[in-house]
Amino acid sequence: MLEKYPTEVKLVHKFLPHVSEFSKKAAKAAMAADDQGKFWEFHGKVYENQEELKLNATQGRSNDAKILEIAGLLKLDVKRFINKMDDPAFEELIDRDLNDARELDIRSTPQVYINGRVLKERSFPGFVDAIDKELKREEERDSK
Amino acid sequence: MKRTLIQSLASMLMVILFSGLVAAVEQAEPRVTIDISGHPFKGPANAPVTVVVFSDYL
Repeated sequence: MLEKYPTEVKLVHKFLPHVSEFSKKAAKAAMAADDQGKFWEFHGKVYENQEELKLNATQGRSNDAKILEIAGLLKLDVKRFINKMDDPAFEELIDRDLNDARELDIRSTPQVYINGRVLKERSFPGFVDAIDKELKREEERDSK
Repeated sequence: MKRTLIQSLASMLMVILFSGLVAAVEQAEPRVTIDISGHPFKGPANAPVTVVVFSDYL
């Protein structure tokens, strides 16, 4: 999507850790990776390993080793990464997202908003259509 | 002839009413304000379109 709209679209990630106990830990780890400028790389790796992580979480096994393995693969400063995971600011940010999700009545993920409007059709053409509508609205607003 | 004309006018009226309904539905689509401060993002900070994704890793 960003390749199609390199100057028109900003993609923002918000957390809705609700599936398992590990969800919130993964969100904090992603923010700790963000602290070293590697949020999106970490985010991608977690999704790549989602099946394994999910299996561990459902069987009550720890995912700590996998998270540290990913941090190592991305060449993060692991000591700093571990310390940052406990940063109260991240806990606060994630709790704020959970609260926002409650207020918006979000019941499943992913949930996508385009300029504040829910994206109902989450296919590529659905994204394109919604983004084009927003760009048109912007143009109309600017021309007034 | 007269009947065909009435049918055509009725069809046109339906199209106009339907277009108006679609526009009204689009207009009525609610827009919410979402706090994105301090969140990871990709793309230009001042982009005209902001895509916000709420997601979970599991």
